[in-house]
Amino acid sequence: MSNQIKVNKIDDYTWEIPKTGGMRVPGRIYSDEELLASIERDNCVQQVANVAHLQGIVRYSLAMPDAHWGYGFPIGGVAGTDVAEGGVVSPGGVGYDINCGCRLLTTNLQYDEVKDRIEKIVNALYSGVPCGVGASGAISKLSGGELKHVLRDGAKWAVKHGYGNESDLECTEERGAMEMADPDALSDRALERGRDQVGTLGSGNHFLEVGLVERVFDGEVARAFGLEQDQITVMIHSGSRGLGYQVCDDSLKVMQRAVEKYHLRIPDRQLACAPVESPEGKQYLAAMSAAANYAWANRQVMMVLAERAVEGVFGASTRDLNVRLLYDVCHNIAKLEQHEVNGEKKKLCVHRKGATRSFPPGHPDVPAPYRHVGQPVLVPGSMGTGSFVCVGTHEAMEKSFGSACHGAGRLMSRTRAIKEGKGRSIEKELQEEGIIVRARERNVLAEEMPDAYKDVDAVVEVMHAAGICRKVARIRPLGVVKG
Amino acid sequence: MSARKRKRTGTTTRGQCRVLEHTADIGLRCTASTLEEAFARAAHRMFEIIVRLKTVRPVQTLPISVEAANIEELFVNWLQELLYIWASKRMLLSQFTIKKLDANSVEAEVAGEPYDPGRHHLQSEVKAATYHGLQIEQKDGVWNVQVIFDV
Repeated sequence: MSNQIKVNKIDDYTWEIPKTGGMRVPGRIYSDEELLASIERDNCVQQVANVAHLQGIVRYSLAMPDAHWGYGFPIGGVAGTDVAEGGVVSPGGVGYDINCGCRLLTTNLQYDEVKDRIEKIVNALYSGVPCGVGASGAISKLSGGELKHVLRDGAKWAVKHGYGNESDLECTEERGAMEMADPDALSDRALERGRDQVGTLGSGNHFLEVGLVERVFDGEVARAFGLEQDQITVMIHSGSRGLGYQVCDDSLKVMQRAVEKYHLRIPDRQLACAPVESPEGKQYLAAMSAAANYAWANRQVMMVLAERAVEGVFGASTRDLNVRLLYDVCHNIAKLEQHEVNGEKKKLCVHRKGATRSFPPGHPDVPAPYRHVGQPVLVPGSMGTGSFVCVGTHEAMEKSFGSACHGAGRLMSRTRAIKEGKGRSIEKELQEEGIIVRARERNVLAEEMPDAYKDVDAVVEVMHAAGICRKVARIRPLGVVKG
Repeated sequence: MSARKRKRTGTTTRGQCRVLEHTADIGLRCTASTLEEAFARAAHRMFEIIVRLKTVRPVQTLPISVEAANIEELFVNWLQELLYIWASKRMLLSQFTIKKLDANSVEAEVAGEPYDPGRHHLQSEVKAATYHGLQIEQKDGVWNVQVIFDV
């Protein structure tokens, strides 16, 4: 159990699990004392220690301040494995919802122009973007051949079919498509599940949110990002839908066999893995990349559907409203990246499960318009609380393989949240705080209530204080659409 | 065993299945006098997470056949197969009859109907049945199965 594992304080925001037993490296948790208490309560510390057993892992098994108990890896977990040293890739270190991520759009609308139209905007988004369990239909059911184009080309496929512009790709992580993708690495089942869900939001913690930039912390970076006080924004949070879940499920079966084949010793079967350079490792990364591309195509299509919905409310074009994609980040992914380890440049497989890339100024993977300041790091809070835009740092490369938190992180189980929500109208409570919400599923408002999540301000404060990403702006929600 | 709702710290009960507390996901623990019954109960309760099963009429029947290397994998594969039917055929299932079960295979007949947005109010999305906390054990003549779903 977590409370039997020793956690030592390194400084106010850094905690270490000493290397013991089969751990190959220590564990490192970025947190403050209060958040650490919840991390310790839900078995997350044990999972951080378990991940440290992975073959080829270097430096630390990491957890971000929004970490909580997950499948094998904790959610909020980060680990880099050395490819040349037999380092492994583990689907549990990515998650079922491959490339769950978010994108933020800016507009030239100010609060005064929208304050009396929030309900109209939310209703337009609710009807304009397919959402909810089993939703389909944004784009007609694709042929198998066309789906393979989506899986190869990602967001670019959407642009080619009239959803957005080439300039959107520059402001998307990986330009909206990972080159490693191979559609033939997916099972027929995964392909079947993907045919009619392009442009759908999904359910659970997926959402669309209309927000207001209520505070700017760093004027220079905000200007570079095109953010300003009182500006209206739109955030989209979604992933690879049923196709991604199927890829993960298919891969886990293969990895269970691979663990035996390569004599890998893992303390938890959910850390099933294979060396990156093995056929199983390569196949997983190829399939995972294809699923990631699907999610980027998905967010690109939904972005345009959302834009059209907002245009409809104002009777003005996207150009008139100056709707622009600030950035798109993924937070469930494994990437092959160069990182310095003990003074040597190494090719690592960096797992980010519920964690966001946080690259510094000057890094070639940061889009040219932002390269002088660093990569935008988007941190959505829970429904009804704030979101943050942060910027990546050099310190993140040293401390966490260029990785930051991804959101607020859950505190309360869904069953408890539903119990807590009995007799309450979460919709009304949010309305009293000036937030309009629409949801398709009965339980989702209670399950996703603000009380069920950690304090996003506290989570981001830890990241800022630890130097892993810096605060740029805080966004207050005005309207939310949940699946 | 009483079919009444029993309140326990961190759990809710319905019939012979109880929902387990988990920070991000949903767990189930089902008990039954036979393993066949445990498989059927878990499937039923899983669909109850997705939709109110009282609204799902068992008007269409499907045969199911699943194989696996061992009983634990079989249990997960069984639930995953049912989720796939929902995902790919948009069919909600409310009745589960196990015809044949051993450590490596299960044959069943399941019944339900196509999803109708007018009558079926969906509650939660179940992404997958996982190996997280998976348990299949027989104790004192009673079968207990436990599974956590990624939602």
